Amino acid sequence: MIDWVHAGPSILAAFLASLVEFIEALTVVLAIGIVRGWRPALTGACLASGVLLALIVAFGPVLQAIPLNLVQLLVGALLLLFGMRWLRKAILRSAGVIPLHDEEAVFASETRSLRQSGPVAVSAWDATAIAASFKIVMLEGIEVVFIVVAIGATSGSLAPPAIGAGIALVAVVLLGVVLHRPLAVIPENALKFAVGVLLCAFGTFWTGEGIGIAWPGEDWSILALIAGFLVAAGLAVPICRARHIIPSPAK
Amino acid sequence: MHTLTKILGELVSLFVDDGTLAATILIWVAFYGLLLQPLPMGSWQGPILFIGLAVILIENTRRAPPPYPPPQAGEGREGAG
Repeated sequence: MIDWVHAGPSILAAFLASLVEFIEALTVVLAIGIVRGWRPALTGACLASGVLLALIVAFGPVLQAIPLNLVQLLVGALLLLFGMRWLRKAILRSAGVIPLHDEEAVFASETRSLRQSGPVAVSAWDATAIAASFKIVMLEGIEVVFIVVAIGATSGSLAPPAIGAGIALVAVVLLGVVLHRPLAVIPENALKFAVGVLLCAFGTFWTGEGIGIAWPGEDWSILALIAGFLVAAGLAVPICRARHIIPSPAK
Repeated sequence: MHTLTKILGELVSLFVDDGTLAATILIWVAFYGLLLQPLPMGSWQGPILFIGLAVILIENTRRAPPPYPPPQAGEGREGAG
């Protein structure tokens, strides 16, 4: 039986993080499907999904067999690094220091590159397309696997993060089937901002648990950490923007 | 060997985008765990760990060099390092 009060943040974090990754994978798989055909695009995506599923099945139980405080410290530190990386990038994008991720531009660039990579194979075995689809789903999916396994191992159950990731996968696939174009309207940087905050909060909490911190309010501290990282990231954006304003040349 | 290096590189890049940020986080966690955590800080243990991480994040983004627009001739890259 799932305790929804504790499972809620895990499901939300896995859902949002997976949504971002699946949208990025969908953009490239759509480009491959439109240019090189749907069979090789879906073959590559399915092969990669199989490998990723095998990784979850293999590593999930292994991590759950290791002493909890060791897993909390190791996975918490990795989650903290992972979350801080996302949050840093989202802050820099919000501040205008680095460009926003543009799914339409990625789609156009992938389509151009696939058209230039040689003629479309007559047989179903289009190695170029299968490899490209496999690679993008593996690259984006491995981050989803890490989040699901990390959240699952530290919170004691793989079910809540797997449910979150599963809902995100179904939502993105359905939108892809309906729209047949990249999901450019999704505010990807806002999502990355939110996911970065959630992952940093989880990472800090579990790293603290791993080194023996007694959090006030126990699991409820995660909510305070989410609020804290939201404030810190919100402060970082104007500070960063002010620092990087390029003065216009004097006339 | 080349493929193995490439896979390892991809794995590391999952967690490390900016080496300084990753190193500072790990140093702060290690410093906290080894030196500060044994001190009697009561319910301030968690907030102190968080404050350190928040400061690291803000300072790192403040110092990030802008990759675009490219610096004009005669201008250095602001905030590097």
